[in-house]
Amino acid sequence: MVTGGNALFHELVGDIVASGSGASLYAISESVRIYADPGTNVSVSAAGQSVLLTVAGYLIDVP
Amino acid sequence: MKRRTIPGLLTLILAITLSVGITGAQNQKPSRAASGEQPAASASPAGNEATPVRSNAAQAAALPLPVLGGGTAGTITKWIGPFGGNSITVGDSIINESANGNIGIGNTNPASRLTVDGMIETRTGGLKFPDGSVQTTAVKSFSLFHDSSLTGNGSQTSPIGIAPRGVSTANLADSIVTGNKIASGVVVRSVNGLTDNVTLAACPNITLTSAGSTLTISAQTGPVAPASTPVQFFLDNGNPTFQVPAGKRLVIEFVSGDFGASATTEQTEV
Repeated sequence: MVTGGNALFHELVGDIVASGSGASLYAISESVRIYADPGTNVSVSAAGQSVLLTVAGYLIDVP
Repeated sequence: MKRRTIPGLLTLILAITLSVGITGAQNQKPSRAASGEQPAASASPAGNEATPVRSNAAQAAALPLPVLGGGTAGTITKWIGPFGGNSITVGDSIINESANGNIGIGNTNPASRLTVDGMIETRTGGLKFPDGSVQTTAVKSFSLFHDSSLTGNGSQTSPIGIAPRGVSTANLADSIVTGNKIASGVVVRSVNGLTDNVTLAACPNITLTSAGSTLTISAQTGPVAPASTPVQFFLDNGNPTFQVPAGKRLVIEFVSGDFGASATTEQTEV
């Protein structure tokens, strides 16, 4: 993400909800306040594993 | 030889003699020594020396009253007396004629054909002007007709003036009233340097309301929150990116989900 013109990375820490065969399933539920400037690409990186995130927030007009 | 008396002829001879005497009195200038008279005391211009005009003995028989006195060039001569003695004296009148033919009465340097120093009185007929008009009386009063846009009658005590509201729009040319003609403190002549038609624009926290001749400007009270739109999106391996629209700022408040990872990869970045 980009905020104030600078790239920003935010790490999400999950809790193990299931594991087996050398792999685990993590669940994430976190309140945050992250700002992203217009045109910013918000992306997720899960180290090559499957991931599904729901991101909630709001868009505000930029004066 | 018998001489006959012819009354008519004698009369003619006397008339001739009388005529000669008059001519001599006008043209001859007998010497002062012979006459014993002195020239008039008044100064006379050169060439118009005050010369006593006297008749000699022969002329005295025909014209018993000698003419004395003198005159000034350009000034009409008049008899100045005495009239009861043995001579007649002439002198300057107040009527003068300049070299270019202008006549002055009481004025020795007339600038017009007739220049008078003093009042002119016409007893009959009045005055006639070059256009042929004749004026027999001085203008003492006149009537001036006008409508209600003017006041007064044109006299000294009631001069002509413009009546209240006597000037209408029709009397004024377009764009004839300039800024300098508007008194200070009366009207707004510009707003922040803007002139002519000025338009106020509203903004998100300012509302403008026009009603009749009233403009109401309303401001939103309290903190002004920017317009916001709730948003929710999903990120997964097939759709890993969400782009924030132009003109909008994204505020992320909550993230939830799950991910599978090996024992060595337990973190996810947004």
